[in-house]
Amino acid sequence: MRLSTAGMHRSTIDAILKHQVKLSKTQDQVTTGKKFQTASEDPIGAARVAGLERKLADNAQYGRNSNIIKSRLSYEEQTLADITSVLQSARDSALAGANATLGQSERKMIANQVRQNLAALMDMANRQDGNGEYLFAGTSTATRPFAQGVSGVLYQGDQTTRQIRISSTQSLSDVHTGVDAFMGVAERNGVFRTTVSAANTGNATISVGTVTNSAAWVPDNYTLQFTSATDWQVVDDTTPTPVTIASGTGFTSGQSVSFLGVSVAITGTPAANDTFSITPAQNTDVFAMLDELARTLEGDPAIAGSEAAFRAQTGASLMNLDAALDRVVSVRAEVGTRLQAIDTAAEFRESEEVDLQALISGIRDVDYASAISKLNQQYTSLQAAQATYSKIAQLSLFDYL
Amino acid sequence: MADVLSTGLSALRATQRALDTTSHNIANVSTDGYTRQRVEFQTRKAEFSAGGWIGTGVQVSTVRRVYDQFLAQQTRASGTNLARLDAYATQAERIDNLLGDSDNGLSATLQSFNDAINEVSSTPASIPARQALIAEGQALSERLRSYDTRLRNMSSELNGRLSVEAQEISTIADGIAKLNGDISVAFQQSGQPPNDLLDKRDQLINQLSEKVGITTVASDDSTINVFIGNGQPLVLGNKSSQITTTVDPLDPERTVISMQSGSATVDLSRVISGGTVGGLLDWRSQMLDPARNELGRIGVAIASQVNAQHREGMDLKGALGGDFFNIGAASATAATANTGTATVSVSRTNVGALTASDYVLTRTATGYSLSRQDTGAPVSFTGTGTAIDPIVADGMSIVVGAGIATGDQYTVRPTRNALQGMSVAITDASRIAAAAPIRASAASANTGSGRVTTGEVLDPTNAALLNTVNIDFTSATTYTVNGAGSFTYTPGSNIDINGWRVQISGAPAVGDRFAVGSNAGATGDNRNALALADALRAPVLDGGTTSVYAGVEKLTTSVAMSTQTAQVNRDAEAAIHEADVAAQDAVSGVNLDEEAANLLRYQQAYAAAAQIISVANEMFDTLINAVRR
Repeated sequence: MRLSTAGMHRSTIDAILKHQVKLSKTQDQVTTGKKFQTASEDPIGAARVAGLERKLADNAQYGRNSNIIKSRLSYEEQTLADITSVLQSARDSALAGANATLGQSERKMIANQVRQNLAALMDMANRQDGNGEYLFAGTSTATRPFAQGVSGVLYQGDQTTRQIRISSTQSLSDVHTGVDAFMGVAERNGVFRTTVSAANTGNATISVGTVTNSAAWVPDNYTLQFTSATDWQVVDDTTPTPVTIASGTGFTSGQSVSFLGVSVAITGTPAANDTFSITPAQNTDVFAMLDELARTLEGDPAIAGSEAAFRAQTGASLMNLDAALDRVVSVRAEVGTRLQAIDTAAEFRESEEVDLQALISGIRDVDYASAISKLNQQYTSLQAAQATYSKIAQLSLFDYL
Repeated sequence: MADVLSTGLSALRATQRALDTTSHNIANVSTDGYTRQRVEFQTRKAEFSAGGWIGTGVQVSTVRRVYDQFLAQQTRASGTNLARLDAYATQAERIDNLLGDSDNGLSATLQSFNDAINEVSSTPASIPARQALIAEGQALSERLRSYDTRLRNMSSELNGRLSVEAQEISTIADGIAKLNGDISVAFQQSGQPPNDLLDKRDQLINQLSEKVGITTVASDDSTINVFIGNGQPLVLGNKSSQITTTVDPLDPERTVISMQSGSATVDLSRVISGGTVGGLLDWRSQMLDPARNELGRIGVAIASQVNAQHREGMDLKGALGGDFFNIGAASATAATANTGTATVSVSRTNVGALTASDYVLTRTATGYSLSRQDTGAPVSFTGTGTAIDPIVADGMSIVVGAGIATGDQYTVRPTRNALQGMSVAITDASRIAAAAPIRASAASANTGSGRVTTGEVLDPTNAALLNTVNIDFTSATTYTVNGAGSFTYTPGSNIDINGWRVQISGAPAVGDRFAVGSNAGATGDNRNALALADALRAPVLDGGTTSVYAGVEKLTTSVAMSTQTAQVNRDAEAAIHEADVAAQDAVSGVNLDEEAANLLRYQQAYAAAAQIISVANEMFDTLINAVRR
């Protein structure tokens, strides 16, 4: 084996250059804190980091989404709380107004309060969020959802509920639509409505009634007719020829009349030919319910022309307001559930983010302890290579010639 | 006595040659390609005199190059490989640096676009969010376009580089041919090897082999013939061929390496392997072109997914969404050698079936043949190429116009030019179709428990899509549509009318009405924005198995993998080449200590020979003095 002089120099220089490249790579790692600077240094790791970072970015977006929906739902919650207190106050008015000792002028004053409640309710139902979007308009957020029409309040929004993603697997409904919150509330007891005929001459009034056996109830229009002060019959109106389906004698005030699984109480003294109608309950809305209460208190002849009709109506209104409150409370409960879901998702996201960061760090981030000791080691090797080169290069036989 | 003088003189002359050669070695210690030389001594012819054969001194038989043919060839072979791998790896690193940046890479840009869609979906009425989406869409198309431009520039840089390399190959080949001539003359004149010329020629051959893979054959007259590709003669004796670059007949954008053969040129691109040129050509066909086409394919997939979904939505003004992205069309270019005049038009019909390859469509005597440009593998297709019955293959539809001649060729590029035409088609933020075009609602007077879903669009092109349709229940199990017909109601089943679909569930009562109609005015609706975000995640590429995201990751990973492989191969080959060079050096390289020792040795020999002359002189004096007496 012999070595050529040029080869000897070249191989030593090559070794020094190689050491320098290694040293510079390790230095890059230490200065950037990353194990690899380009994807080719660790293709699998780079791909995994890209995937994990995408998840992180998605999570950040879900976080922003959550903040938006959370502020809207919180605002809805606040609004529903306000509405609850308005409805509560209207209910108090109904209770106060139902007091038989009040005169018409006092009832009118109470009616005015109810009208104010109604106006406040309209304002609340038409609230806009911080971006000027109507809360209860469904997705038609630029449209004022509730407007006064000729025959009551009209809903002008739509019935679409916005869905917002709050995690990779979970979408949450945004604020309720006006229909969900205020419309389509079943009136009275939810099954039938009772009214006192305006032509009645007796002072008997009818209760809201209860359902004792819902399976036996057949929705139809029925008339409770007193053939005398003590004899009554229930007639099904809508068949071509009215059919008597129940009858009784010996009526006394406060007695309940039962038929087809429902029961209504008649209080007072009916006159012969007095009639009370029992018709299927309609779906109405919270605004109409307040309006009805106000009209009752104002003594609107169409619904509260007589004291008996007034008493039946106030009883019905109390029931209506209970139904309205039930609706608002259940919507509020849903809002609460959604807000909770946001918090749960946020906790999950946070813990997931910690995991993701740890995974990314494990793949990409440099371990400083080992990197710096490697740097030292490479530094020493380079020094050694340089030192030996300068020594060995000095050796020459020509020095001795 | 005269013999002593002549023997001494021969020794003087021979050791002087040895000293000359040693100094030549020392002088050339740093000369590239120099092979150390050695003087071979031999005894001169002996003379017979009574009593035996008397030696007459020394002579130089030859000056020999200390050269190992086998080692030299091994070094050259590993040098060719190293040059190829080095060129490939260096270029691959450029693409890797372009695509593999995790902070500013394509993946991050796509994510920003996706985030902007999500932002619109959570605040659909917000104009700033919509403007941000347009801006991110522009950023995405600009990023894709700039990648494409960078890759395109690499391709045109490569054209320039190839032309320089071709010139250098020609120059080196010319040099080898000239040296062949000189060497053969020198040999014939002296019968001795012209060592320095041989070194020069070896060095030129090494340089050539670093440019391109070659095979060499030594012939009897001590010339070396050099062949390129699969046997094309580059140097024959003292003649060499010209290597040039010519425009690829199938692709005017790129050049190929050709050999001038008489008046014709022969395309060598497919047969060249090894060396810098081989590495560059390999890189172009294995990395650059696929990466460009793949990027184009990703752009096409993004545009087609987003556009299709965007068309199914409704904008803030109540109109159906149009295209969100513009995208460049598929292209077909005629080969320069075509004799016909037909124009060929290509359209993309199925994103899922598109590949990252280019194709060559050839008119045969009986019809057409279609093959992949990179591998030449035939591709199966259906259709005859007419407008009614287009050629359909790999997600493309090809229509050939009138005037095609047999043998005409067209390069068909389904995705290559897509990105240069990519931009955002929307400028007005209110035109972003974040809402679904239809809404379904239950009438407020409904008494049943029936509920209707919000509805989805099946066919956004249906002319009656936005017309109001009333579904009225005539009994608990039947309904009419706009007052007509009688349909059986099954809870939860699909009701498809006018290109939309809803489901009604629950127990609707007689007289209940559900209405479906235009969703104009639903400024807060985000249904289509959610669907847009989903569309980006939906698997669409590769026959519906790869999402756009996965496509981007696949591209960057495959580029990174190829780069890593190329680097590993290069480093391995560099080690092999280094060992080969060291082995050759060990035999042929100059060692100064050795030469110093030789210098000493030959100097002493020279002094001794001079002493012989002096002895001969004394002998002569002794004789003269004896005679004078």
